[in-house]
Amino acid sequence: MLIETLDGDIAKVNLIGRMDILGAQEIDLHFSVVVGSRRKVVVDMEQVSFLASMGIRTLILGAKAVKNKGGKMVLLNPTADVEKVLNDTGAEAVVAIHHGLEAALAAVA
Amino acid sequence: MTEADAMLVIRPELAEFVRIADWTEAFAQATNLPGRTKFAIELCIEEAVSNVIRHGFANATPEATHEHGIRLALAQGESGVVLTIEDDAPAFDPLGVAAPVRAESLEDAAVGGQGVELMRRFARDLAYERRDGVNRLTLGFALA
Repeated sequence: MLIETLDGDIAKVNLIGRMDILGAQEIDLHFSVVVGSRRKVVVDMEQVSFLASMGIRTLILGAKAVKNKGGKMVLLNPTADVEKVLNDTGAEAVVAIHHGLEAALAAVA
Repeated sequence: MTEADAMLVIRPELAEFVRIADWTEAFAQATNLPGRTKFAIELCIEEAVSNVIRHGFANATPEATHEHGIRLALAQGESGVVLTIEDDAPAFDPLGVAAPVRAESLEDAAVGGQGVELMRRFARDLAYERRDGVNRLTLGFALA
């Protein structure tokens, strides 16, 4: 997991690898710190090769944490399989998915 | 392990997921499995096995987890791949779990409970059977 800060104080979190149970556990603490402290968060999913329900749990909890502080978190560029998991669980209805960085940045600005 | 099928027995512990990942990877390589099918199989294994560990073996002592196992089997046939998951936990039919209500807002979004729904959507066939003290979940996958 890598974090960049973009113009407008937007935190871009680049998730890498598998967001399965073990992957979600690995990033849990670090991710919590970001969503606990930032109001504009773009989670770049392009390098996420796998997503299961524990990973979705991390994402939804993160989105709630950011929203509770009056901010917004969105997801960026999931692969087709990962996006299907997000759709099938209804996650994409509550945490917006954007394809294209500009759209994601505009959504949280 | 033949090209067509493989078996793995794990203890009902989350740490065993590392072994599962290696095993599914080996099967995928040996059978030239399409990426989408591999993804679907891995997802269903993760959801099913974590349900078994969390619900079936919820009250297991550390000693008990070493006596019990979860058996995974993969077999490739002409029409697709069959995944079988067997455990000797108390009877638990994961397909009896009601589908979660889809949330309209982030505030309402429940966390958790989507595992069975994901299995229904990613596997072509899904069946549960309890026989001789064993829970058996059978999933079929088309070759994507």
